[in-house]
Amino acid sequence: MRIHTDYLTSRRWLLFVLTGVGFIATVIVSRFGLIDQYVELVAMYVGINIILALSLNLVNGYMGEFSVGHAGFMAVGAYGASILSVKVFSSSAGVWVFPLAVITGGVMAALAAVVVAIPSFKTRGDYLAIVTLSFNMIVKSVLENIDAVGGPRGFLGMEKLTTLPWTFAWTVVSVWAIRNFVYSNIGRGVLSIREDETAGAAMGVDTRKVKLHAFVVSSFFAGVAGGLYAHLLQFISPRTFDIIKSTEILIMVYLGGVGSIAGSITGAVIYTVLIEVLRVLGQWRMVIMPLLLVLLMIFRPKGIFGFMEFRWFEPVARKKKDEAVVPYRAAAREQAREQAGELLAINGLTHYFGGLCALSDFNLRLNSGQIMGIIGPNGSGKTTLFNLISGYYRPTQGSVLFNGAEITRMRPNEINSCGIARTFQNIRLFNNLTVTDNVKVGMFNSVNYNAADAMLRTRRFNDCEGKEVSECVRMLLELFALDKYASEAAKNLPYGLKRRLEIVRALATRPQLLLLDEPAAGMNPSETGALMELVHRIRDEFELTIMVIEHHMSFIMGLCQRIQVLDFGVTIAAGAPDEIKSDKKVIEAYLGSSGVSTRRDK
Amino acid sequence: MVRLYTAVLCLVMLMAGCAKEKDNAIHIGVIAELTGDIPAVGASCKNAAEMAVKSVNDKGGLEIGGKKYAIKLQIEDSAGRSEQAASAAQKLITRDKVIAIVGPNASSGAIPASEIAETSKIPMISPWSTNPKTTIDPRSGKQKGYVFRACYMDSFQGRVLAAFAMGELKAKKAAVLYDVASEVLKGQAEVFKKTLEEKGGTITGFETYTTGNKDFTVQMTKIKNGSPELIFLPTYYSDVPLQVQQARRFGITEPVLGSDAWGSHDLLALCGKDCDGAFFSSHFSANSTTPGVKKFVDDYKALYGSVPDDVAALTYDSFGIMFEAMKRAGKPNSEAIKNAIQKITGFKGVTGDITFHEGSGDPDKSVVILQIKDGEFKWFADIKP
Repeated sequence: MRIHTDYLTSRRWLLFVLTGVGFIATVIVSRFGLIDQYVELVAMYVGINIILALSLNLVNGYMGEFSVGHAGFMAVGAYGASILSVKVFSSSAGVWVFPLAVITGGVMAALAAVVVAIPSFKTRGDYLAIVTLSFNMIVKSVLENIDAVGGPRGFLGMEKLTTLPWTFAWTVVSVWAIRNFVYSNIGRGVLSIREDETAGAAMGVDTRKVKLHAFVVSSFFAGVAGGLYAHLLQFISPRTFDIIKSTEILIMVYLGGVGSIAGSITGAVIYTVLIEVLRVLGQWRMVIMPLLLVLLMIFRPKGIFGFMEFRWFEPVARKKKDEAVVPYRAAAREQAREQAGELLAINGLTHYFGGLCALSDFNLRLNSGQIMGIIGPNGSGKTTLFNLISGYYRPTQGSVLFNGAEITRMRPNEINSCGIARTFQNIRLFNNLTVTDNVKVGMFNSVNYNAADAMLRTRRFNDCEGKEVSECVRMLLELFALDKYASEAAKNLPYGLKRRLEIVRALATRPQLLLLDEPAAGMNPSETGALMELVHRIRDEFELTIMVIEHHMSFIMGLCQRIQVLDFGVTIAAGAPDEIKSDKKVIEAYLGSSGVSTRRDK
Repeated sequence: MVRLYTAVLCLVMLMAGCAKEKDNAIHIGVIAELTGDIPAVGASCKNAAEMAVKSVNDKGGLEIGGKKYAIKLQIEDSAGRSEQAASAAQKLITRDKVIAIVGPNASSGAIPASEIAETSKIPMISPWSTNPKTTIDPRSGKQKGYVFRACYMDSFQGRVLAAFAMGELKAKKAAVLYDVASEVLKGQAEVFKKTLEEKGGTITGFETYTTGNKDFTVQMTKIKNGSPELIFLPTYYSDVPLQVQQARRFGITEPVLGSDAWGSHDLLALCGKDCDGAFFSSHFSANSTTPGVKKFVDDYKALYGSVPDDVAALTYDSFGIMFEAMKRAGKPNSEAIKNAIQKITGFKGVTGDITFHEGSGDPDKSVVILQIKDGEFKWFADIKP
């Protein structure tokens, strides 16, 4: 996401002028019949297809899921809107019937989205694709069996209310609202699910809430498109919304390119126009269309605009300079001071993987401001411990208390909200997002606006996003010398900076306790030294408590006040670095002896 | 990217620019399901349309009001989709300036296309759409003015079959067994019952089953007890053999009558001798002895190498009606053609005699009755209502 500071030099105002002129033009053109009705009809198809492609792109492109039953939502919207305009309102109810009917169709589709969103909490990929496919088939067969809406013979009686200006207006609204949704806090949550769901949850992203929002918004617009379609053709039947319709929408999205608004618009325009233009080819038309798609996929595998955006579709950051920003560090410090004393207490934590005991009766007390090291040979249960604390595993036995409150069975994002952040052994950044956006995902729970604020770009959104979020991120990046990489994609950073960015992202969640899983892995001695300095610095500047897993002995010994040693899931020693260095069991575990090998053979 | 948009823009302009220049020919549009899920229907429709037009053009054109006009056919694909049927209709009307349209065949395309034909005041005949809503304006509940169909509807079929049962078969008492899960078959059974009773006949048994049932013992016992003179089976061809065989086992030897749902050659293979002598209704019979039908079948075979099916025959008749109406109108004008179609009576088509009444798009026409004989479908009679 590029940030344009100067609104006027970006010529962004042209967009508003063009939209306004476009709308007036559609009104004039359709009012006075200036264009051929055939072109007008195709133009309306284009508008409807743009809305459909955009709404599917939200789920498939931005969230990285694979929904193949989008026509199901379109059907719900089409039937909902039609029933309302035919059966509930009489035609005398005036001009408000149509927008109301279309919105109702959208709302009904949005409600239906819950049916798909709930399974998406637990499953993704191929399995979620099957869920969406089934949804499409269920909608179709339910409609076929309801006599009141015509069953398989279809439903009709709608007036031709869909006009060119209405289609234009709805298309603009859809583009605007979906863009606003994507470029907001919840939109970053959507992107984080695509990039790395596990890491997203660790950064406090409530993945369930995000998925529900994405499906609901996506389905709402699919429903709107359905309403427009029904009032354009004046006839809908269950067959209209079959798998072939869903496939058409998929083609438009992947043709234009996933994860791009410009892509969806382009895909919808090309597909719709080409189908009509190629009519001259007779029945070969339907052969040429897929062939073009195959060729495109060979020469441009990500679609025309895959993961790229037309500059004007990216929002401009609006900065508010007059009011002072609450400094991040001050806020964090205050929070930390309130809760001095014992921060983390682990009692008898035990975890089995099937019959294998990964961690056994682990106990720990950690006070605020401490840096604690966890060491042990490979497979000794260190990362399991971190996964248990941060909520990825449910312990077989035992409890974890944070600030005196039990967090044992909470979900990762809830634990993050309590004030525990972590990094991963194998770096898990959101690779395709910029450095700035990576850090912004960490601020998921720090914003005070909701999805509706984002979509409508309310004052609350502009204040929070333009002031608190951007200031905070800027400050963090400057502090850790990442500011010159701000708009670079995370995957392009060198290794050391990736490690650093992961720590910064974790800090953005405003933690009290930071879990670092092998932060020095793959680093040379001088880098390790710099990292040690960094850890000390963040402990002091952010008033943090830190737990570190590491193999570099010099790193651990120089950094930690206390060390706990694990071997085969059992704590074999705990104490100050000097005590650990001379502990017999520890030396045995690390260097090996005859006793060790027999124990392992058991 | 600029290049791409230029290309798209060029395509749009191409689309906008290719309007037909005026000539002296009459343009008729066809919308057929050439691609999609029922391409066989579209192919038959296209073949018959081209054949009908060719036969006229070979004679130097269609004579209207003392002047010969060449017929130009513009065939568009609907891909079996509602929206493409609508855009095809709109294109034919605004771009190709057709004065009449034949098609689409599937009701899911015929209904949206008919809305466009109706608002554009262009007569349209759907050869094969049996949905009652195709010719009716859903808002006023009245008949559409410009939309017609060449086939009869299910209710009409039930009426004619009842007349056939009481007339030709002289059966005053009939039993009915039908598939309650099919709206079409249920409608046929109910209309048959109503008509028979109105004509003074009695229904001795009105039995039902659901798709998938294989045992009809209970129903057959009841039917046997009513001692009917005829059994009416509006059931799908796949269920017919079991039903007929079980009826024969119960000693029910009375004649069996079926509807157009029987019309598959699989029936002959499955039923064997048990179905011999049974009658059923159809839109068209390729082995009819009527001279008109014989010529149509021979010509079609010569051109395309296959026996025409009901879609081909209905499309051929749609063109026949269109040409007849143009001749009677005396001018190639949409409004005049529409008025002339409404006045067509006793048109001798290959699917029977066709009559339209003012204010209705649905024809009164004879129903073809086929009999199963020696393992073949034989033309038996054309029954007029």
